[in-house]
Amino acid sequence: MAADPDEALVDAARGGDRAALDALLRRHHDRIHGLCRRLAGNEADGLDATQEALIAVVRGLPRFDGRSRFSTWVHRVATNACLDELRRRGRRPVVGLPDERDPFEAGPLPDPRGEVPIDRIGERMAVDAALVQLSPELRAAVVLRDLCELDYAEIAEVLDVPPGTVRSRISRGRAQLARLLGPAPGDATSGPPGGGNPAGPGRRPTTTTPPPAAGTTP
Amino acid sequence: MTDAPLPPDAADELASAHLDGAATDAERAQIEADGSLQARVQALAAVRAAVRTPVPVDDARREAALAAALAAAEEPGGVLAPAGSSTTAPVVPLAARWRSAGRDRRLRYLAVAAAVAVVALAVPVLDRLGTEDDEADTASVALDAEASAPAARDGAEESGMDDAAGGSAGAPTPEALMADDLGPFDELAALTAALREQPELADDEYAAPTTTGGAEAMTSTTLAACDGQLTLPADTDVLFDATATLEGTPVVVVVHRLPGGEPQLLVAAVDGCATLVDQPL
Repeated sequence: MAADPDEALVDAARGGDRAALDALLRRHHDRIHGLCRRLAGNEADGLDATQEALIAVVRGLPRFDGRSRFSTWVHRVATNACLDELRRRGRRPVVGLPDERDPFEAGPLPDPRGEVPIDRIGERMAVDAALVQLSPELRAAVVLRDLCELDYAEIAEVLDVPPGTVRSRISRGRAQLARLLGPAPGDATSGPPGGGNPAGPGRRPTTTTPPPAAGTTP
Repeated sequence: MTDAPLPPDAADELASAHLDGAATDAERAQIEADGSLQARVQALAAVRAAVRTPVPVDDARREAALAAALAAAEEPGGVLAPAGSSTTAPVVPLAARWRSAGRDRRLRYLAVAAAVAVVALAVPVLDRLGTEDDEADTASVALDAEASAPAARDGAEESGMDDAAGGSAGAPTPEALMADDLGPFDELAALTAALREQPELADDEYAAPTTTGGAEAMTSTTLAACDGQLTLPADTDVLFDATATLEGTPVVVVVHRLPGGEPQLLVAAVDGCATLVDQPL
């Protein structure tokens, strides 16, 4: 395993270095927020879950034994904290409407590639609405892979399941999402096996080139 | 390899694994030879792209979350906790600790309660006697009580309790004296300084605050609200306890000490009982 890029900060933070802890949390905050936001399905619950996750990371830091990469451990703690927080609320995640609490969802954003605006609100809400239909197990597996870009082995460690289960969960989760997201408006591409949609919401199919070293080979 | 179409689930798993670069050579060859599988890979790639849609973060909320996490790190046992804060000592609920503070302490509370009751009964009697000397004595007793309980007096005035004290201006009622409140402080340093001036702490020996009204003070609504939520090491001595307002937040203030150790200050928010400060006094 390559050297953990967080190792020095972790050591310093565990030694009581406030600046190091701040830097460490800052380095991982956005990814934790993305994870919790996608698991929660709306901004308000996502923010609460993010805070709970950060606190869980801080409180668990003395017990981090370094056997895994710090980032993997953070994802594990954050995933559990987020799911626990949602479980405590005793309900399924609720997809939030854009409002004044979320300045980033105040309106459509221009397409940086050209003049055609992309309805990011609709796109994000569609993804949220589809994700919250998945079971927490499938949702976590898909988000950890597609948003956090963890490989199968890391996800297996985070979720404490065998890599084969990870592969299966990601596959089932993506397949359900493809069905839930439905055909893109005006998209005439025929449906794939399994009844899915060949394109995401408002999107054309993207590259199928597998990313290098993205996963483990079973 | 067979020409029979794969079941949907198997096709999805194959396409998904290929998308992640986790397919075997044989699986990859199977996909490249099957148009429907390639279409499925495209469909799942679109899903992946949708999930990857960036989730923006508000700067202010990021800072707030980071600040909360750093604050958690400063709690006892946290990686940023002040040196000397115990992480391994057995703990008991604070309320339980107060309940086990000892017979002597309870007797002190009872003695103070009895003294307050005497004052409350004596004031109207002395008023009726109408002599100059007796009035002077009454005023003296009342002022003594006031001098030691300014915050309690304020509370009594605000709640109109003077009227209930038999019309004797400045004579606190037992109810008013039950609340031992140190008052507002803009910063922790000011609260700490005020605590160091407390005679109980100056003597380095706990004595019940002379302004508290008795055993009821140990089970007041304010302190009972944190029953079971605040903890102290099992063998600690509670030297002083009161309420105050720190930076606008109502708080419970406890000074305690482990055997042979230095006095330790514990400040917890009344609302939620979260520990705000746990450090040497």
